[in-house]
Amino acid sequence: MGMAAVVVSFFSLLPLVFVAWVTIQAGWATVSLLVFRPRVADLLLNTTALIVLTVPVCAGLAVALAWLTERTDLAGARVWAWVCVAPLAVPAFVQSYAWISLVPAFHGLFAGVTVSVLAYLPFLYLPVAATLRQMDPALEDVAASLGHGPWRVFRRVVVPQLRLAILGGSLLVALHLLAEYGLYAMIRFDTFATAIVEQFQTAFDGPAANMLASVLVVCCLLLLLLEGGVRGRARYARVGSGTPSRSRTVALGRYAPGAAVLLAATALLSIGVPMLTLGRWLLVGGRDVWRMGEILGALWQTLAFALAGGLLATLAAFPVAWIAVRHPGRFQRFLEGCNYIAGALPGVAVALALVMVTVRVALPLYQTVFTILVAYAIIFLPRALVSLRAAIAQTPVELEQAAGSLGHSPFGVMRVITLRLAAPGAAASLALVGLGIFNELTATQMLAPSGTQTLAMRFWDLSGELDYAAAAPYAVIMVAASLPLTWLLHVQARRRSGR
Amino acid sequence: MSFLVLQGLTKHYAAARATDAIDLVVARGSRTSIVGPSGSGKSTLMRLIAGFEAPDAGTIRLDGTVLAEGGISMPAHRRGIGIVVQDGALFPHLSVAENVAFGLPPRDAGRAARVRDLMAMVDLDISLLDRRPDQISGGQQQRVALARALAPNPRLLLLDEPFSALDTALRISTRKAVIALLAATGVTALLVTHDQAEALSFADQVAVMHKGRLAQVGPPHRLYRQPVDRMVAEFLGEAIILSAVIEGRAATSILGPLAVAEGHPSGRAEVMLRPEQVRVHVLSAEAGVHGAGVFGRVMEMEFAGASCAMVVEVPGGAPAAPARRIALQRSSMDALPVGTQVQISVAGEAHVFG
Repeated sequence: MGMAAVVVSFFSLLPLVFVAWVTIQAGWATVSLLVFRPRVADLLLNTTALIVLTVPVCAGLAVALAWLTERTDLAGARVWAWVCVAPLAVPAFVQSYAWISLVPAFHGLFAGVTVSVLAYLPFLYLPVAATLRQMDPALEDVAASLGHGPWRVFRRVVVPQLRLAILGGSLLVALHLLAEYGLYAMIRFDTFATAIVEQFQTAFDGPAANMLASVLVVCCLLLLLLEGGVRGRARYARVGSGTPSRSRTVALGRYAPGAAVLLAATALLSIGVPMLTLGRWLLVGGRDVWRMGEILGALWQTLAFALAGGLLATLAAFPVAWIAVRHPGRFQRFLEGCNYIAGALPGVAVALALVMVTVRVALPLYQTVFTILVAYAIIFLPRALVSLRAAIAQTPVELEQAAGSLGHSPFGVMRVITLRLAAPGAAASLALVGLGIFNELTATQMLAPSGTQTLAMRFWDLSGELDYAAAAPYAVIMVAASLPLTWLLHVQARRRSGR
Repeated sequence: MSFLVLQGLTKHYAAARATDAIDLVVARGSRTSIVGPSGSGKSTLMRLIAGFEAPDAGTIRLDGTVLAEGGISMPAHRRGIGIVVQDGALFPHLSVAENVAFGLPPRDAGRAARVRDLMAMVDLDISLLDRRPDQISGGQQQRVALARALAPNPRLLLLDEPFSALDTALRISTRKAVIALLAATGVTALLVTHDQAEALSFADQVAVMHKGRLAQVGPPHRLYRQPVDRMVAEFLGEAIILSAVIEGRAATSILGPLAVAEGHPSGRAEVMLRPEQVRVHVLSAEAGVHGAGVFGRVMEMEFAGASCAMVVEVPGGAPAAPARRIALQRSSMDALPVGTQVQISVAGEAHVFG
């Protein structure tokens, strides 16, 4: 198990190491020539502006919406809570397709920020809403009894406790902003991700693309460090064991219409626009766009990739998760950390690194199913780890010991007890990774064997040709496939916090 | 004298009455405890007084000002009422010092000094000031919560089961410290608890709450000795309830003749004794027979360290009256073997219900 975990961690760090190695090999002169140029400065400016504008807007909106849906007497709060999570089911590039085909002149920074906020809002809404639900309402009561009005209580007691949720969610959003290619390419807003893909398509395995990827990777690592630094060692564990009494709901009174308008506007922009556009294009396209042969072929390929990638990621994650739970130690934590960091790297950087590795070291593997599956496993390993870790942690070690004392060999124990009990976690891992692959575009484009046509690729090609109507069925299938899991996520988040 | 006055205070939760027409008067500088089984509505009453909930009917007056009346309720942050809750509810993102200072005006020059005074008042070392709430013990957390509640000089202090999260020894010492502190500062206090011993030892005035109503209000001694009904009697401690025939100042029961207070009508009634009123004497050649007490026999004896639990059976007099078993406590130094013949005498008056 330990060996397997080390091997997996090595694989997941491979792209990072390779990028670093190539950078060193190129020599400082080349690096400075390729990095310190106006193009990189432009991209850096664009990306920074995107993050600096999107993340605060997203966070502010998420806190407002979460507070409205969790703490007020807003009519239909439970439905609104689901509506706030639902955009998760719309892949980011479908979101931007919806906007660009509705407003053809929707370009530039403003467009980028708008679509990003709408697409990634749930990443912040979910943790903030969960924290609000779990917060001890007695704290707010006590603050009021000490003479603080509602607004001061919110600012001084509620918001500080949301800090960790906001930080974590913001990091996730920022990493997505760095990694996303489709969304920005569609509305022609240049970021590192779009520039790398562009470079790759013109001169593949060129040093320029590699250097851009290095800068992107450094940006990601900086974000991780920044978040870690700001979070510090704070842990806002609840003090005491008191059961949370149901929190008070705030009567909105004359503000109720305003709150409803805010929620309705968000819902209209984030789900309404995609639904409207997809519906319109399906209507315009009529029967002709449902070319079943092509669609079913793409669906079949996508499903095969999703299943195989999901299995590989789950298998790879199992040893790492197992030793992290059963034999926690510094080295094991380090291994687990490696895999999370690798997972935080943009898919485009991972894909580029794998292209380099295969082309230079193992050419027969270039553009094979094996390579694309490895890429998927690296990109989505954290999703698998999180699910498996939770499942294994819930399997009491005493059960394994009991089975051992009844005469089962360690391998037998693993097969009969651990794997059986971790099965739900493995299923969750398979589903989460599978869905990620289902909607993956960038790495698939760069690494898949020629002739591959996944749903996302077909959608991308057709909308690239401005054949929006023909692209619509693919988008509808991707959204429909994502809906059940999004619903599950929503329900689970509510159940975990006891409602 | 009346400082806090509640009149007809009623609050409904989805058809159930959490509090039902509560009337209560609390004197300035006094300590009152509200005791009742869980679900009796005592926490709701506390939340109504604090202003976390608005009553459906009734009024709350504090020192002459109306806090709630006819559906209009002053918000909690304007009431000047401090509260300490079960687990302290310290702000986890703030240090001990920041917690204590939370209710003080933000730009007060005397803030730091006031925080140090309060820490001394609740007997906490000032080296704890920079700690986080999760770095101090449960007892210390409750003291910090108390200091925080006292900081803005509240007109009234509410204590909502503040000791129940602590272990037994700590609970008693913390309670004593709080009583001493309240006496020193002269703050009027209201304690909510489900622990009858705590309620009785804490307060000048005890209110027993049951199903949303106050069953009885009065000094602890009176509630314990002269409860209005069986519920109050059994809630406040072990009670031996006997049926008896009253005639003037005497009652005839299975435990022989008992003294009762004047003014009860003659005839059948239920009377109550507390176990500590019942004395058990060993029958032996030297000791002889004690007056008019009835005879009994020890049926069970259970050693429990300092004390022992004993069950004595008293035979019924007439064929219609069956034998009666009575549970008593006794010092374990005086433990008796099962089967010992004893004679029973009763100290003080029996309390007549009705």
